Amino acid sequence: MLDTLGEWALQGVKDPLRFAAQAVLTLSIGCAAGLAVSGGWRICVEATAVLAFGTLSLSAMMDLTRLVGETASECQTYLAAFVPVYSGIALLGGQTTGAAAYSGLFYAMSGLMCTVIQSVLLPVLQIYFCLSASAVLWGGQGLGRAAALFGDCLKWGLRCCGTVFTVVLGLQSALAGVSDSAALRMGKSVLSGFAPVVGDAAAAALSASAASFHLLKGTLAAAGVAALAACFAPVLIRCALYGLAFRLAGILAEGCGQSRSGQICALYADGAQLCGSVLVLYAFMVVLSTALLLISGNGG
Amino acid sequence: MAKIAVLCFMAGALSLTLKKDQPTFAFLVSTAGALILLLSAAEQLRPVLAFLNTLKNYASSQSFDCLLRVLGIALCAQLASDFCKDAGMAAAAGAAELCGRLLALLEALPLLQGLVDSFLSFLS
Amino acid sequence: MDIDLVFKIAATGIIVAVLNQLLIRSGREDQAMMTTLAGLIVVLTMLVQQISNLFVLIKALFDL
Repeated sequence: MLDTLGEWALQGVKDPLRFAAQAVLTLSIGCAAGLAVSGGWRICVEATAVLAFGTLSLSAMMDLTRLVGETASECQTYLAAFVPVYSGIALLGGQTTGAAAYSGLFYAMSGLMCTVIQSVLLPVLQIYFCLSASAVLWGGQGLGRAAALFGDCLKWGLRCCGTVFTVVLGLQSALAGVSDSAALRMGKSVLSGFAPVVGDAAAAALSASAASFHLLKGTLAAAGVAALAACFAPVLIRCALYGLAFRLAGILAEGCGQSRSGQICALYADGAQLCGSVLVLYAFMVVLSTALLLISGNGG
Repeated sequence: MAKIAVLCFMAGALSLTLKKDQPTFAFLVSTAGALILLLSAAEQLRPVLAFLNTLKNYASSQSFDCLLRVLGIALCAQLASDFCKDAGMAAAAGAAELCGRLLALLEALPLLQGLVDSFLSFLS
Repeated sequence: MDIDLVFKIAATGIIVAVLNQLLIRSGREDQAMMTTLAGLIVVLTMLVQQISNLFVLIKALFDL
């Protein structure tokens, strides 16, 4: 168990760490360059430093969004194999309604979610990154406001999806009887803090389905959920670490007096956290729907 | 640092002595002073840049190299322009500065190209 | 740090200035001109070496 955790941590940590090193290098050179030259050259060198940092951040975020999209579709492919098998088993066990709900409603919902993520949320996120970089590089009110607009659109989209998600899960009102433990409360507060916008919805769903988790032991669903978690965890760690790296780089940039690089850092840190939120939403949708089948399947 | 101050003082005094009779030599004395200062500064910069190079092996990126080159071009251009101003050639100083800016722009162009390519690949 | 260079150049300059004045006063202006040129060439050879050192160092440091 610890080995797998260590593996996830390693996979997730490598890229953000390298990015952080490159960011620190670029920012320190930019700072030194600003100190070394004077007069008209300072503007020139500062512009190049911002350009260098922007290119670095944009390529890192490009990779991250692509990774999030790939993870979502990988998961969907896995579900396409897993769901028929599991609902078939549930059907053989005599739980027809549960199996029907799982293979019908939840599979459709997760498919819809995956499509929405890939064709709406991720492109909006990418446009947000592009526009923020352009706004900082070339100034201008219009670009800055356009970037803020896309950021707001994304948050609104996430909020919508989060609401739909809780409503669909709320259909399973058989989940009464939540045992509120200290660990659960901590998990909820961590989620609400970590994943903006969707944290509350995910935390509510977590508490609603907490009772089902101890039933998962030793079942096929447990194996499925573990595989899904292995799919998601490294990418989530990566998103969190990128957000942290951007915040630290922002502090360094502001300290060095490079305000424009600091602006890029602040905007991109928000973007990285939104990436994480998108993935958290999808992960919870998928994992909890599997858990719910188990509950409804076990005559709950 | 004290050595640097003393050098500046001596070079200034000698240059002023020669300025009336042999302005050429006055210019050459001030140029020599500037060169020695820059050489000592560059020598002191060497360990810093060696350290940055070791970091570069771990996390190299095209943008960092580009930035370093633009810094080098800026320093050289500023030096050339200052030499021209010292010799009283304001036009040549402006031309040297313009040349330096163009070279720096050329250097930063691949970076800009990369950024625009990323944008286009995102938006298509 | 090679402070001697400045002193060498200044010394050459002073010698050339003095010789220049002497030769002009004694009416040999062309020789004065040649002395100046000779001094200039000597100093330039000294300086060019240092200039090339500096730019080679800058090229190596900044990877130009």
